[in-house]
Amino acid sequence: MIGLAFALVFFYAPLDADQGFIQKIFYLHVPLAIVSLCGFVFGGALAIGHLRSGERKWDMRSYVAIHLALIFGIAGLVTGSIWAKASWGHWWVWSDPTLVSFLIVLLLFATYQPLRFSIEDPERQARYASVFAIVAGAFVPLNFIAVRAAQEYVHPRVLTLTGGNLPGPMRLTFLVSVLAIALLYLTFWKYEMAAKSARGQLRALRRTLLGDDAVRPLGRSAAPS
Amino acid sequence: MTMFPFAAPALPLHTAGPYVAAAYIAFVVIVLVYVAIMAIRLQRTERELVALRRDVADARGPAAGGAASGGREAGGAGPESREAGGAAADAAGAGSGGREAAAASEDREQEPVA
Repeated sequence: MIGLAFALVFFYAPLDADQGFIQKIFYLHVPLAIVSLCGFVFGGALAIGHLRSGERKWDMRSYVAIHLALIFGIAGLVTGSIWAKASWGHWWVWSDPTLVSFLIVLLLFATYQPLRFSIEDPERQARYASVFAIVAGAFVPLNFIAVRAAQEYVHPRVLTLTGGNLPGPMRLTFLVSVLAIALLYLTFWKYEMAAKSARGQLRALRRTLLGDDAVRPLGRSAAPS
Repeated sequence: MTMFPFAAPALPLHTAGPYVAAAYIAFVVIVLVYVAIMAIRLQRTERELVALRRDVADARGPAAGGAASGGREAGGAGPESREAGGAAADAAGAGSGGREAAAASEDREQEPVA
């Protein structure tokens, strides 16, 4: 899917009249930012599952969702900075509300892991992290709406409520790119969940077969065990 | 507030190309680093699985005992040394075909557990 998206970007989508070739970065940067923000909200929604059920697997899901959203967010930030340097001549522009608000969201979620790490008791760690994930996840759409409502922005608008400013081939390419990045996110999420689950099962099996002494105690960790 | 002209003339291809390439390469590098880290973690899990099989064979019994007990004697009785002992058992058991027999018996023994 990623390959298809990249092929559409470079061989199908026409060059933008204003931006020229540099606009090709948008097909990567914007989907990364969108998927990252959706990932933060997804993590908050999964955290609700943990608080409702008390099951640790929901905490694990929420943790992985936020962890991945952070990685995608950093990738979005890096690609956006490269575009800004080419288009505006600056790596970073503090006067652009979209940029700064995205950075705020990213820094907010960057505190998620240190928060977890600061709490030793796994139960409390999971509970506090879930509360944080829900509140911070709710902040993401609010932040998005606030920025959209702001008048003085310079960030280009790719999508609007009236259908966006993209012509047909560009829109198709953009949608395929969003879908590809979203699928990549979900694949990584499943992959990491499977890896963590396998590790947990392995520890449980070792404990069952050989007793508690055979399982090395986990060090203090931000990741749920 | 500084306003940047969004509708600036398009950069020529030779100027824009490196930036576009840099953005896509940065993305691919981030993805590759993530996959590499996950692969390392998966390898660690696999190693632990191998160690668990060995420990279970050690703990369970005479079927795997020839190789395992030799390894235990060589390695000691503690949990950490049991892994070292198991490794020694692998080395010791290789000559007598004990490792294959132990692995086969582990497979049989693990069925009821699963």
